[in-house]
Amino acid sequence: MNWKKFFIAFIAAFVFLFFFGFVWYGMLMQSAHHEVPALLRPEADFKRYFPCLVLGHLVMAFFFTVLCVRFVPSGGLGASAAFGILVGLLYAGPHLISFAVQPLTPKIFGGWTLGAIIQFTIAGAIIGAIYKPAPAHVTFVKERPQ
Amino acid sequence: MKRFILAFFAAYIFIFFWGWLLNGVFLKDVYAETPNLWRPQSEMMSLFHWIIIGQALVVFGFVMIYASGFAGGGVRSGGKAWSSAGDCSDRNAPWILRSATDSRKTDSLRKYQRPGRDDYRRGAGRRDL
Repeated sequence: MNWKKFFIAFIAAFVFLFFFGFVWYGMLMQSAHHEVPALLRPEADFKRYFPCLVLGHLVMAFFFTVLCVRFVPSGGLGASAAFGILVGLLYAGPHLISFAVQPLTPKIFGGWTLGAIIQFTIAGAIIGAIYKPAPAHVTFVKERPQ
Repeated sequence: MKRFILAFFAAYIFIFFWGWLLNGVFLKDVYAETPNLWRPQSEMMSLFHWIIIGQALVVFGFVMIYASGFAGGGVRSGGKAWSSAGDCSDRNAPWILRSATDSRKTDSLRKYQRPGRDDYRRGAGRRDL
């Protein structure tokens, strides 16, 4: 485990997840969210719970980095991005269940699902690009005398 | 593949049962306090198939991740399925941060450890192979 790289990857993932969340959910999907005001907190209330939002992103970034490091030990952009797609698809399930039990619009469901897939794919690629552990297995080959 | 399907169905049954118990029984009263947040019962029933599909997606994704990182190693240990090799540099890391392929059961290096030598533990790797 390369702790320094792990920490840098975690911070990079957190910054990206937070920024992407702000752009995708806070800006691009703002009008869609306004269609269901009863489901979401009012603006003033939302600011009061902002630390929870930050903490949520920290938790998400930390455990996603842990998963990437554990499941893609060889690192690499492509493999980690593929893993991110898998995690993003995992999020589609709870969103689908939320759609069934809460009065969400199909637009919100689609936006959340697509957002999660894009978010975790890019986050996985970032982590994979940063966390590349040094090769653990070095084979020493004795040179044959000429 | 057979085990994958079996694991999928076993996990699906558990997730479905647990979802029903937690959300439908234990938290029922809590949810009843916020009726404006939920669809009416009849509407929910008409969308029940989406709950089934959603849970199936969760289970499928979970089993896929498990199979890619843990398969062959039991509940707490790692195995190797799609990953190529274990990383022995993180042996002292906490369990949660250790490489998923770092397993006593599947670590090929341990098979070649010579009796009386602890080079491997000191990180000498495969130098003696």
